[in-house]
Amino acid sequence: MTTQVQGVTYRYTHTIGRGEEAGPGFKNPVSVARGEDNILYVVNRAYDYRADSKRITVCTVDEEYIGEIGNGGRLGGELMDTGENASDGSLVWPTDIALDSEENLYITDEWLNRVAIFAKDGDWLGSWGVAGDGEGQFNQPSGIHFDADGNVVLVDTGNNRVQKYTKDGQYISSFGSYGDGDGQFNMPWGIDIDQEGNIYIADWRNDRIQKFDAYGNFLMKAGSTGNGEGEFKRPTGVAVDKDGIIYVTDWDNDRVQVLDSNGLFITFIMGDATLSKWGITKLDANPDMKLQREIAQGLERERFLRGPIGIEIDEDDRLFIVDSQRNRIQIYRKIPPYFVGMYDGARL
Amino acid sequence: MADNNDIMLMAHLMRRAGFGASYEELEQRAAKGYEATVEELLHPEEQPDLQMDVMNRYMHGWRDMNGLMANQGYWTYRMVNSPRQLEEKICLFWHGIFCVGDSKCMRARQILLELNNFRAHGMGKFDNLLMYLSTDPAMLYYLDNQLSHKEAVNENWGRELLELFSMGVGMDGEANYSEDDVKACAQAFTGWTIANAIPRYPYGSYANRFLYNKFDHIDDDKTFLGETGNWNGDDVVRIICKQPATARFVARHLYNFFVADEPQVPAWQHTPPRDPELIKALEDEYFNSGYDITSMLRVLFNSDSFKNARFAKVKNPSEVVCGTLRIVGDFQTPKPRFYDPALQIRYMGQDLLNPPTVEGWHTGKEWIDSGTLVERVNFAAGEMGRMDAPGIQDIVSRLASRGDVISADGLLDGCLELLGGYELMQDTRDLFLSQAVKASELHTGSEEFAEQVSQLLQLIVATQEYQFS
Repeated sequence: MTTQVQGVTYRYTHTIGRGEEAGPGFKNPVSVARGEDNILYVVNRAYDYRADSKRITVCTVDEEYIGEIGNGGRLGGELMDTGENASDGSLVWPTDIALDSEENLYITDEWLNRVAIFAKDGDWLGSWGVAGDGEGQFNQPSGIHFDADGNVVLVDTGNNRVQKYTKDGQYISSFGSYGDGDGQFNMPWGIDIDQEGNIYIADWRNDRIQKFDAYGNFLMKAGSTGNGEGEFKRPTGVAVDKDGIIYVTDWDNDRVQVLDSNGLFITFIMGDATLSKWGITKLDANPDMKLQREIAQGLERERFLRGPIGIEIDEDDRLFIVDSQRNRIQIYRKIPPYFVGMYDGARL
Repeated sequence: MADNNDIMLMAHLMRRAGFGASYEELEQRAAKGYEATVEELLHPEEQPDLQMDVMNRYMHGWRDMNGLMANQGYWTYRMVNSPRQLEEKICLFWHGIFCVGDSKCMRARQILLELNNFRAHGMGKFDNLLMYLSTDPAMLYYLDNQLSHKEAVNENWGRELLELFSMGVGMDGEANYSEDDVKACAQAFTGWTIANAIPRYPYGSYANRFLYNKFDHIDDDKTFLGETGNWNGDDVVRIICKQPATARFVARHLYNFFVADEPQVPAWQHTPPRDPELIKALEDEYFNSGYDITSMLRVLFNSDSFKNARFAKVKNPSEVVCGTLRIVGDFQTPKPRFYDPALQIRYMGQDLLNPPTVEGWHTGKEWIDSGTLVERVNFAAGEMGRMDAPGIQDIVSRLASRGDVISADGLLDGCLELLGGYELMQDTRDLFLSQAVKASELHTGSEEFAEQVSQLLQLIVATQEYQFS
C-alpha cells in the first residue's frame, strides 16, 4: 500500500511480531527503540497476571530474534515485585525506552517510579529515581528521550511536567504544570526531540501535542478532542522526522496522524498489516489455524491498527508503529515524493 | 431529614439493587427518598457512566479484553465503582441465568460483548433480550447452534432456551413443554449460526459475528407450544414470551436473586414459590408492561416483601467482595495485581465469565462450604484491617465524632450501623463485648482507638451474619 499526500509518501513495508508470552513475539508492546545494525528493542508491558511476559524483546528490523532483557519480578508468572525494593532487572509497568550513545537501554517504569538501565547484552546496570512531586522526584514517569547533550528528558505524568536529568539521574530542570493552557499538561505521555533540540510532548488527556524549545518555552500546539482530521482521542506517542513532520499515535482512535511542522493535518495511517515472519512460522506449526484463516470471514480487519501506543522514525525514514493490542509493529518507509505526470491512457 | 430506619432500609436496597454503599452514600440516598432512589437505580442511562480512559491507560489488557482475567478484573472494577449500580447487578443476574463459559468459548472478549448487551438491554423487554441472546455468537457457540443443520439438528440451544433461559421445565406440578416442543424449537433455530472466525494466532482474536444462513434453515411447518406455522427463531421467541410459564420463570428468578433465596431452579416444577403473592404481582406486571423487566423490578423493590426481606439471602461471592470493597473505598485507582479481588470472587466459588455449567451457579446456602467460608472471612477481615483505607478511616472518624468517650455497646452498635445495619445474635454480641472490646468505655481520642475499631470491624465481617444480605 502506498499513501501519497502533499509531496510526502508512506509505503508500508512489513509487519513484525506475533502474540507471545516469551521468545520471538510481543505481548502488549508499548515502545520501540532502534539500535545499531537494524536492531530493535521492544518494550512489552504484558499483563500483571503474566508477569513473566514483561520483557524487552531484542530483534532486528527483518524479524530475526536475538533475545530478551529484563523480567517482571516474576515467580511462577505472578507479579511479585511491586514494592520499593524491586529486585535488579524487575519491570513492573515498563512504559518507554531510550538508548544512550553506547546503546544502553533506559526504561521508564511508571509503577516503580524509576528509570531502569540495562546494557545492550542484558546486563543490569542499575536504576535511579525518587518517587514524589518535589524537585528531582517524579510520579509515574512515561516518555523518555536523550537530548543532543546526552541528558535524559522524561515525562513526569503524575506531576504533569517534563524533567531533564543527567544520564546518571542528577536533576537539571523541569517545566510544565497541570492544566489545559499553553505549556500545561494533563497526564502527558510520549516525547520526541527534533534535530534543533525542540521537545514534542503527547499531552494525553488534553488530546493534543505540544512543542517546546530545549529550555521548555512553549512554541506550538496541535489538536483537539475528536475523531476528525487533526483531532485526537488520547494521543500516546509522538515522533518527529528530520524534515519536521510529526507523527502521533492516536491511541483511542486506532490510527496514526501525520502533521506538518506547523501542526497541520497531512494524513492518517490506519494500518496495513500483513503476516509477519513469526506469524507465518506460528501458522505453519498450527495447521488448524492456517485452515481457519483460509475460511475466516472479515479477515480484512486484521490489517488495522488497534490501540497504537509507541512510534519511532529512524534516520532512514523508517516509521515503526507499535500496534499494542495486536502484538506487532507495523513498519512504513517515508520516501521522496514522486510525480508521474501522466494519467491513464492519455497521450500528450 | 432521613432517620436511622430510612438509612437502614436504604442499606438493604443498595445491597440488593447494587453492591452496597458507604454510609455517606446511604445518608445522601435516604435523604432523597426510597422511591426516588429506586427510580434512579431503574434508569442507569440517566447516570454518568464510568470513564475508562485512565484505567485503560494502565490496565493494558482491558482495552481489548482478550483474556479471562482481564475481563474479570474489569467487571469487578465496574461492580465496585460504577455509579450505575443496578446496571451491573442486572448484568450479574442475567449472567447467572444465560450462562456462557470461557472454558469452552476461550474468547473472553466475546463474552464481554454479551455482558454489554445485558448492561444495555437487561432491564428492557424480555423478548428483545431473548433475541439478543439468540443472535449472540458466544451463546450460539457455547450451546453448539453452529453445529445445528437442517439435515442434522443439534437440540442443545433449543432445549436450554426453554429449560434454563425462558420457561423452565414446569410449574405447579405440570410440565411446561414437551420433547416435541424442544425439537420444534431447535428446528426453528437452524441456520442461526456464526461467521467463520479469525483465529487467535498470530495477532489475537477478533469479535465474532452472528450469521443467518437461510440455506441451512428448516423452511417448513413446525408445531411449537400448540401453534403451527413455518416458524423461525424470532417466532419461537414471540411464542415463548406470551406463555404464563415464562412470566413465572422470570418472576421467580427475580425474586430469588433480589428478594430471598428460593430452592434451586430444577425444583421449581414441584415447589411452589415462597411468596406467591409477590410472584403473582410480578407475573401480572410482566404481561401488563409488555414483558418489561424495569417495570417488574419497580414492583419488586417497592413491595413490602422486599423491604421486609433484610438478610434473607446468602450473599454471592461478587456481593461479598464488591460490597466489602465499596465500604473500604480503595479500589478506584490502577495498581499492579488489580485483578486480585476478582481472584477472590473466584476462590469463593464464582468464577465470573466461566460458570461451571450452562445451569449456572447454585445459589443460597450452596455458596457456602468449609473452603469458601474461609475465603470469605479471610478476605473481608483482611480488608477491614486496612486502617489506611479511606472507608475505614471514615468509619473511625464518624465514631470518634460521637463523643470523647464511647461505651463498648455503643462502639459495637456504631460499627454495625456504619457497615450497613447488620444485626448480631446475642451470643455473638456478648462474646465480642467480653472478649474483644473488654473495656466498658473507650476514649475516641486515644492512639489505639482506630485500631480498636478496625479489630471490631474485622470480627463483625467474620461472622455468619455478614454472609447474609
